[in-house]
Amino acid sequence: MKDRFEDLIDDGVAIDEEERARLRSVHDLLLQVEPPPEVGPALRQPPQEAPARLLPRRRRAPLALVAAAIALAVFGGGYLVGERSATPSVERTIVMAGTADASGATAAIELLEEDAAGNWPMRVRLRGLEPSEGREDFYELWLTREGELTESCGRFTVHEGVTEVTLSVPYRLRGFDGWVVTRSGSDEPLLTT
Amino acid sequence: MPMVTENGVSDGELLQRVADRDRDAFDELYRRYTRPVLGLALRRLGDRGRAEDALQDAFVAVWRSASSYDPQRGAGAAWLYTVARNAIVDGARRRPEPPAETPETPADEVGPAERAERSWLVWRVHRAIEELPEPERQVLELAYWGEQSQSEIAEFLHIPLGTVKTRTRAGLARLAGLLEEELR
Repeated sequence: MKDRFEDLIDDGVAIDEEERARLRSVHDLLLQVEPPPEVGPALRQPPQEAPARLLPRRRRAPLALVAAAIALAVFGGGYLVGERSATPSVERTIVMAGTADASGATAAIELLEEDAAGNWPMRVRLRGLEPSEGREDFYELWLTREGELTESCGRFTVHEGVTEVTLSVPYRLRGFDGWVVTRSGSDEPLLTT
Repeated sequence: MPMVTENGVSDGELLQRVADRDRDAFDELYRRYTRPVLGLALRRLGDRGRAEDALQDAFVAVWRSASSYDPQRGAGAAWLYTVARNAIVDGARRRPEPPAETPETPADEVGPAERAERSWLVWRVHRAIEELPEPERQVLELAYWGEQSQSEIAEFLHIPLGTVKTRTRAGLARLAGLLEEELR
């Protein structure tokens, strides 16, 4: 039986022994290292206040550039916004893991770029949660602050296998520090970052 | 070897720009090092809230002391590691917690030298992970730390299995390049 490494690198393209050994070394290294922590939305921006106080100098764009930017905003803005919302790119993928109450469950939040109206759309894929028994038996995605459930990002039911839902929230994400999934009727986290 | 990103700007170059008070360079360093610094703080402090405070302390320290970075004396990653570690330790001293907190290391009795070596290794790996293109980072994190099989990842991300395999191999190859020193 092929070991996991061989399975991982078997993409159908031949590999020489030197490259195989190189990739094996990385594989072994990754197995030794704990996962990097997920970073909550509040930490996505660098500290502003302290460096800002220390930063008197700001970049001054030449007047011509400012004028050009205004012109672009006026004449090209609609086009650009239209393009952007047509194919929003993934800003960040946040991987969530099951707690002891949902061990084996996982989720990934694909946070898409902010839309023109200031909403943050996201695709959420979940697997391993107990399937919902009906519409009243839903799960809920929350933003947290200091470990407390703070703002709901939406409710959804799940089925066997992978469930994908699309949500959108209007919040400023900088005010939060994590994501949690709970089940209706309970505040207990089942998935966390 | 300094870690150089795809846009060709090394950490050391960014630090030199931060020393000149370049806010964009600081933001880029923050993007690259948020998870490594937070991981270092979590390992040392064992508490998420304190670790997040320490993360902020560490980057304020980077901003304040970037002018002391000397590229002749080493790569930017090593300097950042030292500054972050010191800021985390100083912050822990200023805001001590009751001793009931979980200690940083498990009770496996490793010596300080081994702990330091491991801490540096983890730092480098976490830093390198941040350098991967998002699709490669995503599949590697799910494969290695989400403990999902490649078929599960394919189903999970709604992409063909072949794409998962291609991204996995490409990601491992890119990491091998970024972690050349650690793999010697």
